[in-house]
Amino acid sequence: MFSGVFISIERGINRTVIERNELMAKSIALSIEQQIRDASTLLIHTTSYSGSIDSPDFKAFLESSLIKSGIFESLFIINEDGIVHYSIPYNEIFTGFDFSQQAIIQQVLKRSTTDPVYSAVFISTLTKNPTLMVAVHQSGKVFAGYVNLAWLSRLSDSLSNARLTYLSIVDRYGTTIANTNRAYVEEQYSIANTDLFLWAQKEKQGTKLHTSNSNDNDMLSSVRFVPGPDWYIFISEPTSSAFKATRDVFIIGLLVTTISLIVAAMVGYVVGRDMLQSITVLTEETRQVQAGVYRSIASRSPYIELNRLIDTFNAMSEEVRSREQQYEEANHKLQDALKQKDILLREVHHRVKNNMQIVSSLLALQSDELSCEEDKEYFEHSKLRIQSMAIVHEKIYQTDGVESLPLKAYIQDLVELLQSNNQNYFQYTVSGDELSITLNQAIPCALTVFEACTNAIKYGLNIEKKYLELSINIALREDNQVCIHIKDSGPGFPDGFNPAEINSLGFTLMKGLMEQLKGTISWYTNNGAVVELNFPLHSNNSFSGLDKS
Amino acid sequence: MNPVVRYCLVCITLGAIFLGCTPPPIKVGFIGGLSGFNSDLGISGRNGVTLAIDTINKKGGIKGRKLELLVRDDRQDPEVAREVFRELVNERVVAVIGPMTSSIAQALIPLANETGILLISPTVSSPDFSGLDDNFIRLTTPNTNEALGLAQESFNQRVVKPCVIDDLSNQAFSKTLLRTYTAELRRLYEADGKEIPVVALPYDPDDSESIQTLLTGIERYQPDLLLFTTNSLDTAVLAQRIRQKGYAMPYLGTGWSMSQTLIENGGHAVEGMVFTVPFNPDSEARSWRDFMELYQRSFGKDANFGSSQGWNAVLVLTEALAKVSGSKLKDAIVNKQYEGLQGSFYIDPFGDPVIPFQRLVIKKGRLIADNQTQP
Repeated sequence: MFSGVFISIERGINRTVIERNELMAKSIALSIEQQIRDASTLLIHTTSYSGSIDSPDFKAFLESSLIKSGIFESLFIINEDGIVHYSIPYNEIFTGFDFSQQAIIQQVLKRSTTDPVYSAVFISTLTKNPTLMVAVHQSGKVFAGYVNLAWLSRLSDSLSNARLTYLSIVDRYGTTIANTNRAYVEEQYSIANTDLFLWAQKEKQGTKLHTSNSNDNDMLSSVRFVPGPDWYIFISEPTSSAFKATRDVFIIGLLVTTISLIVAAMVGYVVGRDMLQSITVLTEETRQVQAGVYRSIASRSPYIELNRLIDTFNAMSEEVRSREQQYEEANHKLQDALKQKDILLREVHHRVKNNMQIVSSLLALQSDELSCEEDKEYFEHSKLRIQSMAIVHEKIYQTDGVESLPLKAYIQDLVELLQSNNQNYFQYTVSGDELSITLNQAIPCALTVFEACTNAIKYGLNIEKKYLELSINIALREDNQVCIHIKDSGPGFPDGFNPAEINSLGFTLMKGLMEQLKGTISWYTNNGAVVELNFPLHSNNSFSGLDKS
Repeated sequence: MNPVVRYCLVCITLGAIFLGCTPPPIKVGFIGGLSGFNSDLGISGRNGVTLAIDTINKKGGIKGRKLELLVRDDRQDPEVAREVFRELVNERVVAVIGPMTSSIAQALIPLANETGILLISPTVSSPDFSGLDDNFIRLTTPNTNEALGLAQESFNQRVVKPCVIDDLSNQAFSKTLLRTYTAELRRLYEADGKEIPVVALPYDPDDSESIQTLLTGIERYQPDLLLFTTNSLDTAVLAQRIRQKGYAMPYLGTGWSMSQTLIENGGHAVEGMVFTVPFNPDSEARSWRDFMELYQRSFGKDANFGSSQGWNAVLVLTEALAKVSGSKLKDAIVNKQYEGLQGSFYIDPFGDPVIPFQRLVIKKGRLIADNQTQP
């Protein structure tokens, strides 16, 4: 857009400069043409005298109207032979002079009308100035007036910008007759063979860009032809000054643009810096919010939009802080409630276990009153079953959680319980994966393991050696099935052993309990009796949470 | 890049550089009297030089280089002439064409010898510069030859009271001419067993009273022949003023005044004026006629001796420039025959030309070769 504006301004200014110079050349040409025409007309009218041209009155009239008026420098009255009849002034010098060989005199003598004839411009011997002779033929005489053209060169002084604008007037041959530089006139400097003059001869008027002959400068010259004397008026100006305004406009435009850009950059910098500062504070405070620190931004921005953003942020920060506080309080309450529940649960488990211990003790006391060993054994069994369940509750409240218990530790305690309540010593090992089992699965699982271990102790003991080795392995398979492998060092199951046929309470219990766990029970002999329990492990105990120690 | 493509690019680039380079012009200086009363000869000489240089430049210049003419006005002042000569030397001109008058040549020749810049004068005719192996070449014969011809003309007319109008503004020319003319005329008369007095009447164009003094001198001496050593305009005015007084003695003129300006301003007063010059404005030579036409078309005036000699000076210089440059210019110019506008001429080893002289007479406003009356 700037380029477009500049080009249109440039064209406008250039057109104005050219029009100005052409107008100047035209006005000077018209002025010269008018002055020469006036001088010619004056010469014609003044000399159209019917009386004697030798009368003193006529001579005085000629002198006052033509010479003293300053229009003509001198006047020669020449007869038909080309001899000076008299002259004003210098009469005593030139009277009798023969001008018959002068081209203009020969030309005017041939004329029958009073139309003026103009000589080529020449340097006057008297004034050393360029001079034009205007001659008219009337009343049998030639009246030849010499017009001093020094005023032509003075025209340049009237140019408004004379130091940069040059006036040059050349005759029809290209010889300088007026110029800002007077030496060109005196030396009859010729531009006859220049492109400028050849162009001027052809065009008569217009403007041309060309290179100066004298100093190689690029010039803008406007020309105007003056008919009559056939002169050419040149108004020349170096393009550097002619188009200075264009250049100035360009420079000013460039400066304004540059300053605007600098100011815009500075304003942008200041605005950007302020905005960036506010945004940096916002970013930092957002980070603080992420870190859980909620603060209000106290500093204010000079920009309403940013202040709105800061206000929104402060409101958001306060809201988040408030909610966070509410959540924390709720969490505390929840934690307290959970803790309370845990305590209560532990207390419940503890009391259940104590109650079971009491029941077990009661059974023990009552079994003492029994005389039948078989009954005692039933009581003893029941007591141990109750204790095995009490251990479950004990393990539960002893562990961190209240919903599950460590299976391996529990079995360990269970076997120890069996050992401590068995008259025969046996060795045992509990190995395998550490896993937790929920309370729902713990009781059936405990009772099943208890029954299996009781059977192993009962039927696997080598009577002779009074020795039994019991090994229990716990494994959690990848399909989340718990496999408890109970093996004794006894003789194993008798051939054709079928628990259904022998109506074994233990096996019946185990089958029922495993069904409850949606598991299976299998048994076989392999260097002793082997019972395998398989059941799926319920939630809280996932394979990923397994500790494969 | 492909080597062929690279080679082509280099050639194109070099070609563009060479085509884009315009060789600098050969600067040629001109010094002449372009202002004041004696400017007629200087201006016509400059015009002749300008036309010649324009013509050569239009034909492509010298070895592809244009000629650039630097014109300086010596204002007929030796001091100014020295100053402008130094200016031209500083401008690095290869040679200076000029000056047009002997008095200025006297001031410039030492500078030409000192700086090594060749001075080629179209019109200087003082014999004082003849036979010297200096840095000065001229294209017109010494005016001693002209003086010998004028003395012979005077002798032929059997004058008894010849008078020379001695131009004080160009003494290097006028004194030599006067001396030779007087000596030769006396010799001729002595050979005839007679004595002849030759009177010189001084004329100073810068002194407005000088013309009246001259007229008084003529009135008192009553000469029967006047030899003008003045320029064309002064000669015209003096001739008219003398005729105005009723004198009808024959006039002799020199090459310095012989011009259209003299004829136009002298009118009938200069009718019959005789010149013995190495130049004929009425020459029928084709080159001269072409030059006349070109000059008239360019300046609206008739070509004259000064303009013709200016053209010839450029011809001599450019023929040498086409072969050599600098200090060898003089060697390339001298001892050689040239085809000038009006015929061939020879420049001797000292830089002085040998040109045949002609007797010219102004008849009916024209300069006419009239050798028949010359013995």
